[in-house]
Amino acid sequence: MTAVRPLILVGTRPEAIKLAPVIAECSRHPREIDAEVCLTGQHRGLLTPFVDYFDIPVHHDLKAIRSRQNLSDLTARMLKRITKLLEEVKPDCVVGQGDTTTVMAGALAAFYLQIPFVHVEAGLRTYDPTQPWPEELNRRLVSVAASLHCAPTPLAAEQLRAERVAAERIHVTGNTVVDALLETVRCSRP
Amino acid sequence: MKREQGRARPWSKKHARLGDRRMVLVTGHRRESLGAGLEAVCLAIRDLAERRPEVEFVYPVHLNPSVGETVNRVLSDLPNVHLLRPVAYPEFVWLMTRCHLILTDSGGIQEEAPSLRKPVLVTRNTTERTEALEGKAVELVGTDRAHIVEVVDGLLGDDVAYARRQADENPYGDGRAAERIVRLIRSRAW
Repeated sequence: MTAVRPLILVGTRPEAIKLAPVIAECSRHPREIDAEVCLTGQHRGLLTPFVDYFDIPVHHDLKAIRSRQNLSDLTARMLKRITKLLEEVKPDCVVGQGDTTTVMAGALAAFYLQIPFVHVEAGLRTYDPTQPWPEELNRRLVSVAASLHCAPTPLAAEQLRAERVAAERIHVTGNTVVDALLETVRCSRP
Repeated sequence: MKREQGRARPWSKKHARLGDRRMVLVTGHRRESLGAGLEAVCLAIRDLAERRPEVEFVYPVHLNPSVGETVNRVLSDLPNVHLLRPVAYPEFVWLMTRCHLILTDSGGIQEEAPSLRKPVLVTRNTTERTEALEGKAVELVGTDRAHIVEVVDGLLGDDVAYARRQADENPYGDGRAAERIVRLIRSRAW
């Protein structure tokens, strides 16, 4: 069987921290997985030290951030650039994490192109669209568009089932931030 | 992961002025907490630093100018409040392992701290991460100045109450989430 080719989207610092363990794990299975990583360019200045620290291989950099742009401009630019990239790369799936503009635009772009979207840290809810804003809306939209929902906890999985997300597409995996934390603590022992 | 950057020694050296005193780690930059909420949190930290000169308060400040302005105006003149430029991930992990408790509006820190047995007080009114609230390892304290002072001061002054807030296990993960997620991707589980 040919290797699975996921495209992994990384926008902000928390996404770099939480997807770094996934990217590292992909590289441990080179015959089965051929992952590519795309930085979308949200918070670029803040992101570089994290990308360096976690040794994240960067295959694509969309540089979608502009100073003083509003959320509509950011979303529109992100959607266009991610779509163009997906048309070029033709990945087997798109992977995004959490509740940022990156994951929302990525899920929508993948949905339009009928590419499966894997949502890491799926099912978190406050049920108040203004808290946190705009993240609560982002993650709810992603849950509608995604094909595979990696819920960090049984509660998150339960919340997705309550929204009638197909149970066989929901998996409780734990939160990857704990992977990143424990690995960093291990490395920092003198 | 760049192991040499993770080493504990340089961080303890960089933060030598903390000595072996108790330390409260602070972070805060969410969009919906800016303005009055952030101002109230900063004033609470000011009250706490004045009331407890034997405790050090460490606050890595986000680059967002509207955050920096408030934080610097309210907190820059106190000898036991240390405002830092944004720190790299391994340094932040070191600060988390070194601190006594954490005051934050971050989601990721709520998920990480239970693994380090550090109590977290969340300066928000809602959270999508309710799993750790039950065990009291994480508590929502909102953005009311007097209430934040009362709760933080209470935990600093009562080691029995503090010990009850130390999580026995982390409900958010066991450090093997990436393994499970990548297994799903490898088997094209969508």
